[in-house]
Amino acid sequence: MHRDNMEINDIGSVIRYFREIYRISQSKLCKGLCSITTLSRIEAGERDVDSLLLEALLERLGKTTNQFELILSDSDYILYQTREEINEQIRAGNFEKAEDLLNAYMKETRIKGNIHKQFTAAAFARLNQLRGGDDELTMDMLTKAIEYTVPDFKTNRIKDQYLSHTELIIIMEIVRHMLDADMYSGAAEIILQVMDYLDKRDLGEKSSNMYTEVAVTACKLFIKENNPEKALEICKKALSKVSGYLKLDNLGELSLIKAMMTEKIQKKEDKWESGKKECLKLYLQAYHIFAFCGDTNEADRIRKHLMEEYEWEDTGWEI
Amino acid sequence: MGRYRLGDIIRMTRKSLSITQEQLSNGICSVGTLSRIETGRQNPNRDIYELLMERMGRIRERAYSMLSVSDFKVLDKMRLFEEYIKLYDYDKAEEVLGDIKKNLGNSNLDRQFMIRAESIINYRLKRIDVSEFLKRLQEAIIITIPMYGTISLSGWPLTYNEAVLLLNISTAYAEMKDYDSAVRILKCAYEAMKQSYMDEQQRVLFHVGIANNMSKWYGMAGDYENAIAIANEGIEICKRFKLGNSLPNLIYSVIWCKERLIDRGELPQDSKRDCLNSLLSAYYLASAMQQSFIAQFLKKHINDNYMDLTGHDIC
Repeated sequence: MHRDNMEINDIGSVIRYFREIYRISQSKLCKGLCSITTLSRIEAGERDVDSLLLEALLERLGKTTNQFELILSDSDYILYQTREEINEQIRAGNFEKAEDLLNAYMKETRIKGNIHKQFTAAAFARLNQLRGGDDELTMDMLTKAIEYTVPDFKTNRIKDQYLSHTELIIIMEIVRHMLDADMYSGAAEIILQVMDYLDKRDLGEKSSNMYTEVAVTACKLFIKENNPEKALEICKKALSKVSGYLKLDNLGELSLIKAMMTEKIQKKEDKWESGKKECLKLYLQAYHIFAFCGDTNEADRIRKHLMEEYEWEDTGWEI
Repeated sequence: MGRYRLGDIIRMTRKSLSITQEQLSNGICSVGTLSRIETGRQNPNRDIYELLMERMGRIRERAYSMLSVSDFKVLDKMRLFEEYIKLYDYDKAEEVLGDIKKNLGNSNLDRQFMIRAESIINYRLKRIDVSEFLKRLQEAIIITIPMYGTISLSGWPLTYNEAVLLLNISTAYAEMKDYDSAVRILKCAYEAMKQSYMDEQQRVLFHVGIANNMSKWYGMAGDYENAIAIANEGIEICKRFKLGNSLPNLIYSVIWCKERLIDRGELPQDSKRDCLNSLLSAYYLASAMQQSFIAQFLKKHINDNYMDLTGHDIC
């Protein structure tokens, strides 16, 4: 294991390797992230590379960065820790502290690429939202964040783009805001593209939760649009992809949607009496997940529904 | 796997061995240099890094590579292999392994993976016996931890592959009915994991996996109290991180022990009711997660043993 092997060991060769086997051109992969020249230098094994950029490239290739042991340079490491700290402070509700850190981060990364600008814009948007700020402003900031790396998001949406996990998360936040603002058709247009995109791609474990989250949002959209068939179809597809480490709360939501939509369709088609047992089992699956996760509101709602509609006796267990 | 500086790796490994900067740097570099490297103020040159890691019984190549030479080319296949192992489909796993072999290099990490993978398949397909299985797993771990067996691994920063290997070794001991050794190794893997180079999610999954196995081994050894306690610990983690994968197994582990305590009269007869509730919860969770094997097993267990409470078959 000496210098020769070390060269082919470089993360740049990983990026080139996957890019080539997936037949993605350099220009498509790096669109919005960096120049083709920069990507070429990375692939050639240049060491001094922004790790956030490496992550974004790997994620666009459908790889999660925790599959790799990334050794960071010191300045990278400090920025990485600052990002973690900012996210942590936002989570913990220390908004002022988060804002201070974000301002400092912005200064520090002034000359760096779009990807850092995207990070700050998205973080400011979340901060604004959590502080109860104007919804339209939040949406504008999120849109700005995504446009840093997906420049024609407004016109072309995500057609012909490769997307990182981070980019997908921002897009889904935009969709949720659109739903809250009753902009159904716009939201539907984006979410169907996202689902289509996820269907086509070979995904890592991190993204299988992404798929479920997208599916749950899509189902809610179609439920609002009074299209239970479409909601059920999406829900079933998402469940069929369940493998690996799906989060229980997502699974609970999907199971409940499946139960509700199955019931609704059966009632509509007059098949409910014979399908009751199936529906009951579906509801019970959802019930036990919510109960285990400590979501008593949702669990109680299901229990009430089962007692009213299924003559289910709450004896503490279901038989 | 994760993100760190070389200095962090050196410091973590040194601390786990409880040696001083003086002891480690002696004859390799000055104490001042080591101190600067550990705090990230200076990047070690490659020779110094290798010498330091070697002195600590570490194979040196791993830190410079994100994975070993050829690993990333077979990354997806390796995941598929682990999936088949989890599904007990050893024939399919062996097929995938054949593919992996064609692309795998001969680095230490490649060899370590291969020995582990082949010995699992050979053991599960009954081509080798359990003591041979154990011997090969130990050969594999010695590749990256030459001092395995002579040093305590508690607090030793483990890689993902090493942690999996320890779990396999523990299982081998358990199948030889040496439950004490099986538990001891898991305890030490658990301690080591606390500061391993793994990301949070992987660490949590390992923690749950360890709790699951440890509970089984305690149960088999008749130590029901510890078995229940450790399984409950695993269940709590599942709840906190909303993880379902091992949950039905963990719940069953608790109930299996409780059923034995009821039989012995150490738990009141009416705790059967609580047992049934937990089993039903496990059954519906398993069905929702499409773990049909364990779901069917739980259903049968409930129908066979709890008819007096349920009155008829569950749906």
